[in-house]
Amino acid sequence: MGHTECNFKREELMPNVHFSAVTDKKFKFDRITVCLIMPMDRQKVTVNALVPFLLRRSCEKYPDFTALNKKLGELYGAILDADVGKFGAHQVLNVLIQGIDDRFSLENENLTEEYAKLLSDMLFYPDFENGVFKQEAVNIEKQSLKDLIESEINEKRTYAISQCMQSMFEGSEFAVKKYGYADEVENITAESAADAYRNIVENAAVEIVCSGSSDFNGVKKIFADIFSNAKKERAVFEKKDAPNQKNDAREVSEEMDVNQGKLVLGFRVPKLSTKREKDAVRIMTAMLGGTTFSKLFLNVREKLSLCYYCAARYDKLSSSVIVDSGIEFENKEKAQKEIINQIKSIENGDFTDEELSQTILFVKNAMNSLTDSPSSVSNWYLTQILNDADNIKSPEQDSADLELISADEVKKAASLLSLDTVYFLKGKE
Amino acid sequence: MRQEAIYSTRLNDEYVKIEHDSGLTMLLCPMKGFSTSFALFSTEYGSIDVSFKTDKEDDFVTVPAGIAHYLEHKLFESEDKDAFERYAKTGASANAYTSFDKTAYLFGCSENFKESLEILLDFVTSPYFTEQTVQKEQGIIGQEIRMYDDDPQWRVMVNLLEAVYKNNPVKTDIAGTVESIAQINADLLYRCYNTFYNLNNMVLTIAGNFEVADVLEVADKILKKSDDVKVIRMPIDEPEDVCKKYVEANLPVSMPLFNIGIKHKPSDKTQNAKVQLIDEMILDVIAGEVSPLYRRLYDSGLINSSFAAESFVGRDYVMSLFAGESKNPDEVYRQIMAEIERAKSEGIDKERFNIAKKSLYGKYLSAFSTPEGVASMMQAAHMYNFEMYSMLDEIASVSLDDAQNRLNTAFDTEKSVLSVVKSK
Repeated sequence: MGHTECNFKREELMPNVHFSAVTDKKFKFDRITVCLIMPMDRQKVTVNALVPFLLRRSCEKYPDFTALNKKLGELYGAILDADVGKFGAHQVLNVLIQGIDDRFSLENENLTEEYAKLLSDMLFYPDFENGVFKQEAVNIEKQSLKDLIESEINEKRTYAISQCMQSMFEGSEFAVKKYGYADEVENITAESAADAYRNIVENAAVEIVCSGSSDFNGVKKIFADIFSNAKKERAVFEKKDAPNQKNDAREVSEEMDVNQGKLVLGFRVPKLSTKREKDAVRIMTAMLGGTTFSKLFLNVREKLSLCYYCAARYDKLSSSVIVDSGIEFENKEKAQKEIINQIKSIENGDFTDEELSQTILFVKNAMNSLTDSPSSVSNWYLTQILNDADNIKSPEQDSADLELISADEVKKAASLLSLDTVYFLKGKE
Repeated sequence: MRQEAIYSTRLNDEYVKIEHDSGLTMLLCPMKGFSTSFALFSTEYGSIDVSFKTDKEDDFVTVPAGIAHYLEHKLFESEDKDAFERYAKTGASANAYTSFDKTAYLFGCSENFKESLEILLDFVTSPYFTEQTVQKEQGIIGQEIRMYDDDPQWRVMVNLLEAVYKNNPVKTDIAGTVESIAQINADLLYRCYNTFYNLNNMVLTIAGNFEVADVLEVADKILKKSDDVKVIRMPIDEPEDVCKKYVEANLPVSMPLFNIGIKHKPSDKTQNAKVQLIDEMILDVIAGEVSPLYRRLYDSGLINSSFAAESFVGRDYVMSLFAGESKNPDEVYRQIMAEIERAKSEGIDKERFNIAKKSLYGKYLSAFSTPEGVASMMQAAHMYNFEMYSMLDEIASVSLDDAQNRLNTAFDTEKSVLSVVKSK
């Protein structure tokens, strides 16, 4: 094992605004992410999704896109990014910056604090005119958001998975789309976007997560100062469980002008109270379809030659397991039957101790590798915070628990799966 | 065995270059503090290598399109256990890829490094194909091809290459077609293997958490000396002009996707790689996010944030590529060409050139910051025959005059193609 000095610290800057940092001198880059966490609100999801893109575009100090990007170029092409994420029943709006550490600047510049200042400028000093976003910026970013929402169909694999999840969680916050809805973009105005911005900046729970080689003390001070001027009462972030509703192997299919069929099976897992039980589902899912020696890879792909990919993944938050594969249209029943058979075989204990220990080793290795880049470190801790901020583990600590999972626990985990939705994207007749 | 340490004062990093007795070149970069190691075992053999012979053979052979990729799939199998099953014991995450001009087998791991390396070196140097195992792969790769057929980003690019190139095999899809792969058999796979998987034509690059001594121990154990066979590729007779100015295909997409290519004349591979750095700066000045052109296109709703410009370079090809989504790809094409002509006649803006240079430096620095990045960078640098750390010095040394000269002489807007994918 390599010696890592990942020392995670999280502290409260003010109620419901937290600052976390992981410093590791091996990195050449520094990364700062600011997450604004809002309850997923079907009425506001689209206008909220527009806000990070408006903030990314310009701010008071750099009042147009070109001026802002010029500044980034001077910061050695630092990456400034805005995006919308989804965490169960929450919409997570984030802005982040990543750039080279001060040590590697050609003219001894103090870059890390510049990164923090730029992010705080974007968050608190938007490019307003008469108290609202500029009309031109709103028009352009609206079009861009609409394009983004509509482009979901371009990637057939992710589109098919999203359609399956939509069907599984229909009607609940878990089914609300993170970027919102194309037909709602039109109604957004400069005023409604500015209202959404103020609501978010004043009320969202905030997590600032830094990773890289800097000690981030200067960065912390910048954020502490700026948030000390902001509103003091904020929403508390509380994780929500997935709804208990269930479909009984509902078949959903869609026709499109495609060459390959996309089959997605959505399984539900009942609410699990302990981490140990969730770890067992994670290992079972990896044994089923998370490695190149998994049941699905060896049988659906290698033995039956039905596909190029057939994979399983566990989504802890929505308590579901998704299996997906790209196949010839006429092989749908054959592939589906084999996938179900493989789940049954795990349930029946049709695996060796060696298969189990190899699967655990694989998952552990993959988790340990997360400590090697500032972005994976940030994402790891952010997910840890959102899952349970009082019980944060490093990837090494978390993966050590996996060793405890027994064959019986894996069998039981497989028995928990119940088929909820079968989604199939097929060609036009 | 020859061993040499290569040091960068700029980064305070170093790696070791070893010429192993087997004929294999090894570039090894232990990185302090990292938990993973990343290894790449690569051969200079890609989808474009379809007509070739060795210096011991009289006649050139021409093989079916997609065979390099097919071979990559089949090497994972052996008479006993396939490589994935063997890796399962070590916990490594293993994979492989075939590009236009190279094939690489890789793994990343955080423990059992030596055992994983032994598997990598062993399976890549131990081919085993039978007609039956070759046959089995048709279904799997057939589905991989179908998956790409439905991928609009990939389609728009392959169509572009088909329109830009007349004879260069880069115009053919890396995986081939369902028809071309049907012609592949065990004999052809062996012929390709024996030509290109010669250790003298390969490189092993490793970065991250490992010991150099362990690599040498495993290499001494597994690798047998390769005869120094020279590969001779059929020369490509490629005209400077493009084949078609416009190409269009239909796939279900929300908005038309476009690729715009400008064909440049290739030189030798080292020169191609160096010129890529200048081209990347030029493209950033012309169409990067700081450019007036980008702003104009974005603000008029002609492009969105998916727009990007890059330099597409390999052993025998150099092309500038602009990609994105637009309601009106023709207008985007027209404005890009007009901006290139304007920059030629009015000159490149000095301030924007300096920003582009700084950005490129930051971008390449990021490649040196992870085990995967370093191993990939060492591999690419070796295949294009230059020293990895010299990249940063090359970037620092490019002048505005260099960029202006390159723009004026190589960016011929007549040699451009627009490729569009849109819904029916």
